[in-house]
Amino acid sequence: MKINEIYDAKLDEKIFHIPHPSGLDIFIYPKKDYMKKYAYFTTKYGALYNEFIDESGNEIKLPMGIAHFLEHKIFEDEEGDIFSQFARLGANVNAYTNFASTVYYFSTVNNFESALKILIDFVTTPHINDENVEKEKGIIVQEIKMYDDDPNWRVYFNGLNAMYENHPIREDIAGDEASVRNSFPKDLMKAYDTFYTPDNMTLFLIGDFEFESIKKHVLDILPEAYLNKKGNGKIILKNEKKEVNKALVEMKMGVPIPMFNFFIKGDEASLDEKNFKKSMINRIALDYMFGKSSEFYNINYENGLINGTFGYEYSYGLGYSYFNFGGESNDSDTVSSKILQEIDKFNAEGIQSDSFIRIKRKIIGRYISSFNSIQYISNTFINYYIKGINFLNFLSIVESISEEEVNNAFKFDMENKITLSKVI
Amino acid sequence: MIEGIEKYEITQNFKIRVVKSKKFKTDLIGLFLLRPLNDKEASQLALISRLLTRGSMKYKSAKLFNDKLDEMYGAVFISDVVKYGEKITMHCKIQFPNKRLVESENILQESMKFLKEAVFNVYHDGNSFNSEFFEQEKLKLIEEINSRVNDKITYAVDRCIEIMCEKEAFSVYHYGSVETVKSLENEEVYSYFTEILKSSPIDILTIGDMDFDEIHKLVIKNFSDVIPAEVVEIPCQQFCEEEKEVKYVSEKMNVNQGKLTLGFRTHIRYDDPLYEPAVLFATILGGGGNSTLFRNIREKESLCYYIFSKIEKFKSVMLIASGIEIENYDRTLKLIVEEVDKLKRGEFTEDDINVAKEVLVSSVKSLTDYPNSFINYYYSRELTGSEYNENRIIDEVMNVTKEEIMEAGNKFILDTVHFIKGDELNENQ
Repeated sequence: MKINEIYDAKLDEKIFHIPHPSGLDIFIYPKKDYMKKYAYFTTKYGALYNEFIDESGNEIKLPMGIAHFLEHKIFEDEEGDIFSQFARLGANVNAYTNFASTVYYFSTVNNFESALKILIDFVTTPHINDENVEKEKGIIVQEIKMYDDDPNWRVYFNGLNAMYENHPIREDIAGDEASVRNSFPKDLMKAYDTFYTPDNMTLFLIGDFEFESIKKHVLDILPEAYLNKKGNGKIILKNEKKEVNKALVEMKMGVPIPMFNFFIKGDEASLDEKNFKKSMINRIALDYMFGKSSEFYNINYENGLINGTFGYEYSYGLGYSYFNFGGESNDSDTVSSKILQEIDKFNAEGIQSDSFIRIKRKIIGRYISSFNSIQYISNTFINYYIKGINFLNFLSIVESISEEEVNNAFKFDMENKITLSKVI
Repeated sequence: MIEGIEKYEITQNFKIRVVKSKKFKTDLIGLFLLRPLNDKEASQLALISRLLTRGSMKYKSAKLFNDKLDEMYGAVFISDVVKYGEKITMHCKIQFPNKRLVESENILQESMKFLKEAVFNVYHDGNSFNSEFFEQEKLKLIEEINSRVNDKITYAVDRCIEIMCEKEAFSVYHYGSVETVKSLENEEVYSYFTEILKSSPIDILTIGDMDFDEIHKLVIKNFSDVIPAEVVEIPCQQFCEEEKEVKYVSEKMNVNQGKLTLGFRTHIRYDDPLYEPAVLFATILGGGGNSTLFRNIREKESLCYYIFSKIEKFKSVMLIASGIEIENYDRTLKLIVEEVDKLKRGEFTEDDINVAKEVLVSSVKSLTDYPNSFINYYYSRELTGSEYNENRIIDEVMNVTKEEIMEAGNKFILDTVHFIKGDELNENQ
């Protein structure tokens, strides 16, 4: 079987990539001297995939939140005690669903190989029936209500919902109470059969183990029936206009200080290295304009317009991209207009050379430091892999960025591309 | 993996602990300053911890301060306060990439110097903090304390503790209170700060690929002029105001989900031989996916998404927390109390015990994977007067018997039931 080595000479980190003939991508990342080992079993199927074309070419529309519901129900076997089976091995199992993927993972100090077998078995053999689907609804509704009480979560998702008209990013990942109550085993199985197939999945293993023996073990335990599956599901993304759907959205939650998320809608992104580089360019520009060392941050922190909760990001994925600035403020309208003024100023003046060097240096240092955490590095690697990027190219991409590229980051038309989400 | 730990007791009040671990990409230096917990000191320390990040005499603005950190390959400086029972500490830490990975031979020396500068040379004008910084940070801290309600899960647990321990210092919030922060005067806080720097126990803990001797010399070189001279005992009130009857308190908030918290007095201190059995009791009950609360309240009854129990190591208290439908309050409370009683009666298996032991042992072993958690844990062990010895800690857990777990559990007494519910419901709860 073919094996690719992904190597970062500077950090001395090596990841083995096995492109399995079934389409499954297997990554093995030996990390010396770490006590914990992790395995991540990921399908490129997340909350954005509510509408898709199946293998036979039919257009399918499933209830909102179905990917997340399925995540819950995969944790079910004949005895219904997946958590206990892992616990008995000293392992801790969990899962999460985001826009583009569903990830099942466990961590353990001992019994890694046995735990890996359970992980692969339960993800590849669903036990979904009317009774256990009904039972799960109460649990998921409580999960939704927990997030509904979280103002940071609400201000963010309300903003996405206002900004987009058609793109599925406008819906909450878990759906709502009504969509959960309207989800049934046949919907879950349709999603499962279409997207939980080797050609749509990756297996990522990290820890202090020996490559050859782990490789042999993995190849031995992958079930034949699973390896022969094909899904071929294709996401349907309707046309999304360039302008925002709504410029303002406000929700009353009775928070002590009003919260805001201020979005600038970007172009439809595709998943390639060009977009990855663009995200790094944007990160440098944002840090220069709005970071802890910036004039904007310090002036507005000192005059009380913003506080330590202020933050910003550039985010992109399948068919979307946006800038987001958020935090607490008693006057988010003024914050918003000051952000836009800052961008105008940046477009006129550009970045200072010494700041450009300083920020690059910081980003490189933070990248190096991030390899301390095997969870962080695993999640990041998988996320970028799904976006078509090898995360270990990070340094060379950052180093290739020029001042001029940073200066051009915000030279696009922002007319009607602004959404302000408030929670008061 | 820890390659070794070296201790240097410079004075009784100033200690250095150097933890050698080569696997990390970064080095971390932490300074811990210990104080007794009360509202006034918590408020002052929280404010000081924030002022330290605003600038020093050498880096007189947040911009200059942060520019310097950026230049040190994105080194991170944090200062915050942490509660340990009826004591409180200010943690000031700096983390930076190890010199083998960056083009900066002196990054360790520079970081040590920076830490010293940040803590011992805060921006001041003789007898007070920079007055603008002081007033700004006061307002920010008040906002921060007010905003704690935004994290409902943590807030619910904190409120239960506050009500349960209302007559004890432990009820103090680690950032103090809005009223006290409002009343703080610049000169008063500055003089408090200069005083405690001279008279409080200070520990320096480092972890990373660093040489024992080099760290020892560097600390002495940088800190020799500020080693606290007088030995001051940190007074520590450790008493419990026990109520004879269970307190039932419900509060109204603007929520969709009710937050139910149960507070128990465990009557078992961290140095009690029954401490490990008590932790196992709480783990079997609500420590993860195999726990009886998770299996019954969530999986069987579908009443909640999250439910957990935990022991407050420094306060002999166990808390159980969950988010539920408001109308399910009575039923959930009854079922939770039943689960606790079942364990007290010994209705759990050897398998449950072994799983709980595995959970605890794994978490002890994997501590060495997290540099910051490791030095925090190491520091907290020393506060309890016990050494860090991985094998001994594991043995203490593994040797616990079912009888001991039951004996520990039977000392647990329910003290307070706290419920946060929505505005629309009536108060007959």
